[in-house]
Amino acid sequence: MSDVMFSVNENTFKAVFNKLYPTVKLPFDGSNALGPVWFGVEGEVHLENAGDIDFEDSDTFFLSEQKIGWDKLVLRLGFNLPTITVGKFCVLRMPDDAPILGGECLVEFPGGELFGGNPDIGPIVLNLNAIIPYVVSEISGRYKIGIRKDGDYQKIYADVQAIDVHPISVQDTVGKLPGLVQAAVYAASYQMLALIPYTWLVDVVLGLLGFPTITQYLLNLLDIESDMEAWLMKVLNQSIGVDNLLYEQIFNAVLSKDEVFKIDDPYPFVPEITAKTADYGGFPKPVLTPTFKIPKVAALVENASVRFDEDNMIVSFDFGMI
Amino acid sequence: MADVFGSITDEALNRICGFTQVRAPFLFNYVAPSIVDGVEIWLTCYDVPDSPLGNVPKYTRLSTFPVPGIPVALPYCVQIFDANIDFHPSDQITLPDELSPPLKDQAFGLRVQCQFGVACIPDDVAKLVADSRFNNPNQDERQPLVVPAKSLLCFVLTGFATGRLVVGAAPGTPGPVEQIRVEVDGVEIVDITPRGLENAVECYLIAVLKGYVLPTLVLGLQSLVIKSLGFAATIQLTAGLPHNPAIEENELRVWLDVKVT
Repeated sequence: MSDVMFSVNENTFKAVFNKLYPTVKLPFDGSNALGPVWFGVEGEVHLENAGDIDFEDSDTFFLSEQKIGWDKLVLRLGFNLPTITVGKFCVLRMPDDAPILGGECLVEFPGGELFGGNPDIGPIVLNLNAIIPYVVSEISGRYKIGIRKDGDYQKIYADVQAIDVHPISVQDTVGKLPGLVQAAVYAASYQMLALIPYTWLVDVVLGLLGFPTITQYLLNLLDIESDMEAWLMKVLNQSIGVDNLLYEQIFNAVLSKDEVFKIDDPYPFVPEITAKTADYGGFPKPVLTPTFKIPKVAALVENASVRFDEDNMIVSFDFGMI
Repeated sequence: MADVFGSITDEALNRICGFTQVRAPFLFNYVAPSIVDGVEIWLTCYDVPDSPLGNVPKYTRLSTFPVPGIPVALPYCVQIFDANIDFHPSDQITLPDELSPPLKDQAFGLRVQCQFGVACIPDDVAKLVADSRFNNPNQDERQPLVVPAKSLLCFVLTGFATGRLVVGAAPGTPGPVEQIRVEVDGVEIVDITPRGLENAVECYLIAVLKGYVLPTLVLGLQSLVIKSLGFAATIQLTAGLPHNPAIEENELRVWLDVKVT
């Protein structure tokens, strides 16, 4: 039998955990190119409360539904359009039966390459901060509980073993997302138009690309159909792989967290006090001041252990003499 | 089911008591010093070793004891050299027959062994006082002469007590968690005669235990559990349990409902 035993149930453990584990902002960024489209993301998240904690056998617990709060979400789009080579051709030719210059080309398009940049269009900033409240993100993770001496404490840590970042869900209940995406596509369209030297050449280019409008062409590149939420989720989760970006940030943030519980070691039985010298006698050395400090009396914490037993975390230890 | 549970064994408490006795001897040695030629002398029945913690005092000062009938105050000492607590079932101490052993369910037992030392009034001091009163009949006897003793008459007393922890209304306390109290069921001082003197001493000790010692021991028992785990919470004793706090299986146990703050 240990000298001292404490137990803490799951609800209390979760309450303490939720006091400790919300984090400050965790910034991240990343990008990925998929064919002609380049996606970049810049964001900031923070950990919020855990939804549920389930003590497992021995020394691990499973945390589920820990919310990720979004503080910033900016998507950047870039387009590498296929280079179009347009040969020389006559824009304005004199009729063959003209008295002079019959059949001569008066205005000739010199030919050249369109869309040779990298990227050709962008980056177009798609600021999604307006829909942050509708971006739902969660993590779950398995943590290993342990106790170890650290300074003047026995600290009970929750060491992260694995974290799973759930796919991001977007539920734009007020319909702001379509407008934001459309604005970005229009901005990209204007940039694309600027790359085409002659207005009349637009139809030529569109004919070569096989689309009736530039907007339709860009929508096709982005693989956007009618469901904007589904599209954004696909971009974030699959095209960019935000889960991996978040994983690294969150894992490091969780690792850097302080202990969940701590026990004084040495454990004080009699606190340090400042006492009146006149109230005491038998000092090994004379005390010449009116007051003096009596040091605390404390014992070492030995054989400390922590484990889970059904729905309780059990902490036990013995007192050792210094 | 309680949110938090804490327990400590009687064996651990006894070990801590012995450990503290060595390191903080002033908690176990109480002295009303003598004054000889204007110099205080801290007389004791046995020597107290220095604390390993450094310049820690050995004695806590008590006031000298005024003697009825003669205007002198006696130096004395009370030195606790052994103290043990026993949580049900009995296994740490053997109770005297007067306390109806073994320990009852949910009860604790306490055994304290003390050295008492009291100064004798020397003849020359008694004569000095008598002469002083004769020559100054109007002198203020509320300022008695501290007997200039250089030694004490010492004897050992062994006392036992039994009691229980109860939860109930305590005037002036803010909430139920502060209402753990100690009920003393019995006190027995071994080998004091005559019976009337023993009863008088036991009555005095019950008052001391109820009024000071035991409330101090249980003060903050509940908050100690939370404080030990290093988090902040408002606490309340878990209701609906047959005994909370409980004294059982050689442990002091407490169950708490908490609200983490």
